Amino acid sequence: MRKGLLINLDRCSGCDSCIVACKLENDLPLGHFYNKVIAVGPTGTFPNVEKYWLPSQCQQCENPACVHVCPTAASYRDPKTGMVLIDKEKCIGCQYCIYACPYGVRQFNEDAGVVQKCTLCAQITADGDGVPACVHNCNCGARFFGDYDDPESDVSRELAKYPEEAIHTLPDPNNAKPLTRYILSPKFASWKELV
Amino acid sequence: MAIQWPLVLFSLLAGAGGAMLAFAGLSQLLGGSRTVRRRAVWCALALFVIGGLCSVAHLASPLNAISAVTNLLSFSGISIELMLLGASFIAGAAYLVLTREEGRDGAVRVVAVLAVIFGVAIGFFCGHGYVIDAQPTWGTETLPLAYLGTSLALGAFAYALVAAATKTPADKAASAEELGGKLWPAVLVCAVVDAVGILAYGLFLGLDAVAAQGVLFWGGAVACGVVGVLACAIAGMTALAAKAPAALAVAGVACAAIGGVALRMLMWACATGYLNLFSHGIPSVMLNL
Repeated sequence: MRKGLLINLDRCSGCDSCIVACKLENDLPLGHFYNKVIAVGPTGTFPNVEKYWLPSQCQQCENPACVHVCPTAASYRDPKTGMVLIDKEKCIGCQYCIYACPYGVRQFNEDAGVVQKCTLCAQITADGDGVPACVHNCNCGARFFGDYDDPESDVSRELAKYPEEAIHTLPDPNNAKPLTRYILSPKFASWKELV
Repeated sequence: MAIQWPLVLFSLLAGAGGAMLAFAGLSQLLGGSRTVRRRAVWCALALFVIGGLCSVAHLASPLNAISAVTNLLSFSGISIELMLLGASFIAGAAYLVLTREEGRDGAVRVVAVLAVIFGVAIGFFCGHGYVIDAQPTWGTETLPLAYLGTSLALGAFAYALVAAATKTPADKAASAEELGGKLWPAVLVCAVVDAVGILAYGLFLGLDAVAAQGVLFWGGAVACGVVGVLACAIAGMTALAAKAPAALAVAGVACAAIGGVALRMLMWACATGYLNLFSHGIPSVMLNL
């Protein structure tokens, strides 16, 4: 099982509802985030300009560097769901996982003394029924959650609607295998590698 | 990225302690003063303890160090550093115990060889833990080489200082007899490794990156860490070594310490991340800035 997010950038309006929903659901203090929406662009020369929004959060890598460097196995990949999670009881706050994450989507919570990141709302999704708050509250219906290995899941069905050239992942520095897929059709904007 | 001072100090102090231990081991194998060796090993143990305490200060809570110790077999960068720190400490402590009395030559020689191996390894692996693909400015083997070089240089001059401060029965500094009379050539070798490591890492970073940290690189790492260290080590090959060994060693320790700290600060200051998405505000513009 490989549970993760699919984000359709053709639909994303950059409204930041996912950020707000995430902060409310996970009770994140001021300045702390599990996800952010980044504007990519505008690029090009008028009138041929383009821009898209890139919601960013833990990419649920299948070969996560954060897990490999963790000295206490606090960062782990759940073998049942494929979700990359943090056992806060085991985290010693060394922050090596922050240095090792290629996407910079982990933060250190100084009050709690632990590293935190997107959990795909495990408190909601662990029983296999619910969806993360960002997916539930996406105004544009741009976010999908499910098992990439299940052809009947939301992510697989949405993915099946698009050709290969519209399906993207963030650049991968060394075989981290980010699971999160982004859909961006060339008619809306060209995908930027950002590195 | 913010400079992580506990890690800066830990890697330099533990690495320098390792180098002092390695020099004591070499002295045991090549010849030198037992008093110098024992004093140097005591200093090395002190550096391991102080460095270890600095490392603990990096954690969210000092008690979390227990978790790191109980997960030694994870073979993460931290666990390898911890293993080498423990092995070096045990080798140093064993050396002190074994040399309290004469006549355990076989065991002492084995411990001396282990001290050399562990002492050099800890300097290298304190830097190797940072070779991470997600940090493009750290993803090079020149980084652990620079860590090793700066640790060796500091430890070598510190050992030379201990030797200079120890008197022989003829009331002369013990420096001339250390390592079979090859103390200063050994210090020079360490200074060369230090210079090669710093310059190699600087070249890897590129002139633009180091120019943005001009004071750290040109002032701290190059002027003190390379030129100053090499100058002191070369001076040690001249008659100055016999005239003022302590002053030379103190100058070397100062230059090596400044260079070692500057090199580590540079590493943190130049860290950019591969794709540091959360560093961008909301909303932010990644292109067309």
